[in-house]
Amino acid sequence: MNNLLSAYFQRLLKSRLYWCLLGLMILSGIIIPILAHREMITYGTDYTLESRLVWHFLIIGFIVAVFCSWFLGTDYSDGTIRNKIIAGNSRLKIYISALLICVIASVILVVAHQITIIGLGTWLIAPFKTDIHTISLIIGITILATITFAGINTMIVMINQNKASSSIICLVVSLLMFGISFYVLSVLFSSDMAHSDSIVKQIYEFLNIFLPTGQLLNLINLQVTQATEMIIYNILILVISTGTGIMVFEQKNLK
Amino acid sequence: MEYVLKTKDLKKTYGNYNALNGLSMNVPKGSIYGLIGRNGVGKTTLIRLICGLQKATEGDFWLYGINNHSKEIVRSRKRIGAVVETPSIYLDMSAEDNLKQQYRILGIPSYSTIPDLLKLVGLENTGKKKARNFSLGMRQRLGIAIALSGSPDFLILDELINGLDPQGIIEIRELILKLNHEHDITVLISSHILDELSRIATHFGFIDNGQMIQEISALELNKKCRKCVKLTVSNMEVLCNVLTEKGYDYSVISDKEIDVFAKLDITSLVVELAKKECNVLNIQEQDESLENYYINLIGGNRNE
Repeated sequence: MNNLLSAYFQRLLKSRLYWCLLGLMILSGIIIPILAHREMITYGTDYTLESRLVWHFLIIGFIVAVFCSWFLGTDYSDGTIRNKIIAGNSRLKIYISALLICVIASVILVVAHQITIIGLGTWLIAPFKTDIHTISLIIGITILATITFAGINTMIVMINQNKASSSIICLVVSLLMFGISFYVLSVLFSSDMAHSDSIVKQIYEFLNIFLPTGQLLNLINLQVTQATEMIIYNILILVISTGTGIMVFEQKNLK
Repeated sequence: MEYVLKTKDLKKTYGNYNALNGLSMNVPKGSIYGLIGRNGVGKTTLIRLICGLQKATEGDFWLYGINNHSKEIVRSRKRIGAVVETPSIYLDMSAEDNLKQQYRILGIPSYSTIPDLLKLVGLENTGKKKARNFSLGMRQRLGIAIALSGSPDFLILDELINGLDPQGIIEIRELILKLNHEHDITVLISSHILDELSRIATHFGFIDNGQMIQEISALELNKKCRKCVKLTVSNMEVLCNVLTEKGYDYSVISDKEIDVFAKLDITSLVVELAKKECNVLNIQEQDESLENYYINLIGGNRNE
């Protein structure tokens, strides 16, 4: 598997799209605190570093979807996945190495943005007002959600042999998850649900925390009261998506 | 005889469609094995099974003696190189970068042999040009280079020459012959361009409806397709005596028919036979090509 990972890393380093995405994440990490700083000086707006940090939670799912579908989809569109199998690698190794490269590359994108915004924001806006434990938990869950997104997208791409349709499905799934999470959150905040104790409310509450998109929307409000559940659900989704992906990929007729 | 690949009653089903229907074949070591058949008869399916891209529904195959149901089959594939349908190359990479990728996948620590490999396939001057901008022939040759990266001793080429221009076909042909003769690589090549296969293959496998119709060596095929003059005469004994006197190679088909494998002086032969009261009833020149042989074989099979 080391050979496969080594080959993937070599390709990643030569990938223009990846460098563009990384540049975008770092650039946004620079621009956000600078703009906040300007507004604070010009209009006296009161910004916190926390409120600027959470902005990227909304786009993580899409960034990961774009990267995974393009990077892994190329192996199908160019037919190079065949080289990996003919070279004597088992399908399990191929799947796991594909998952690992997507996870590592996606986490680097997110962490690069976070490091930039925290570093620059501490100087230009203000240091964190929230305690370091909560911030660490928020960042940790964000990274875990990123890994979950990578797991879901890897599954979609590896069981679908068409790069174009994989890209569309990955984006639609991300969009759908966000749509559901927004809807669930809006229902939970509605007056009808405020004092309800019904099973419907419990289902909504479960969905609110179960989906990584819902978790990120909760983290935007700096809510980490259900951190344990969030971690468990992320791991559960990752295990289920990877298990399903491996099972289907093992039996798949490749062309 | 030592075989690189053997298959027995291999079956592959897609839903209700049988792509392979109990195919058995034997690829001798050191041969260039031409797999011949129409589109959709199962050539590519067979190659996909051997390469591990798909799993057989039923039946067995042995790659270097290792059965497809054994876990070791994955490792045994390290000894093969393959170009299946289209070359598997990253279009946004140069030829050299594509080879570097394959070297990494194979765990080859040094890139020192890449220039030699590029030279072998005639791509040494492509520099940083992306594979996207290569001609089809160049892409095919890069595909072969990638297949050769792990120094395989069995090369599988599927429909490699289809779509190539005459120059490209000649280049690929020379490369295959070079690999077989100089590097002792066994080659399995599938195609429906029969003329091209007839120039390079040492063994042929004719496949139809997912089954092997016939396996034959080029030597046997040449004998069957040998250019000859078919004579029908009234007295076979006289004809045989005359032909033996003249030192001609011949083969008696029946008591009236004979195949003569020589360039005959028809007039003098007829005159001589006439003197000995042997009438020539019919003369027919026969020159069966691989194409005719294939058509007769497959056609005959269908009529059964």
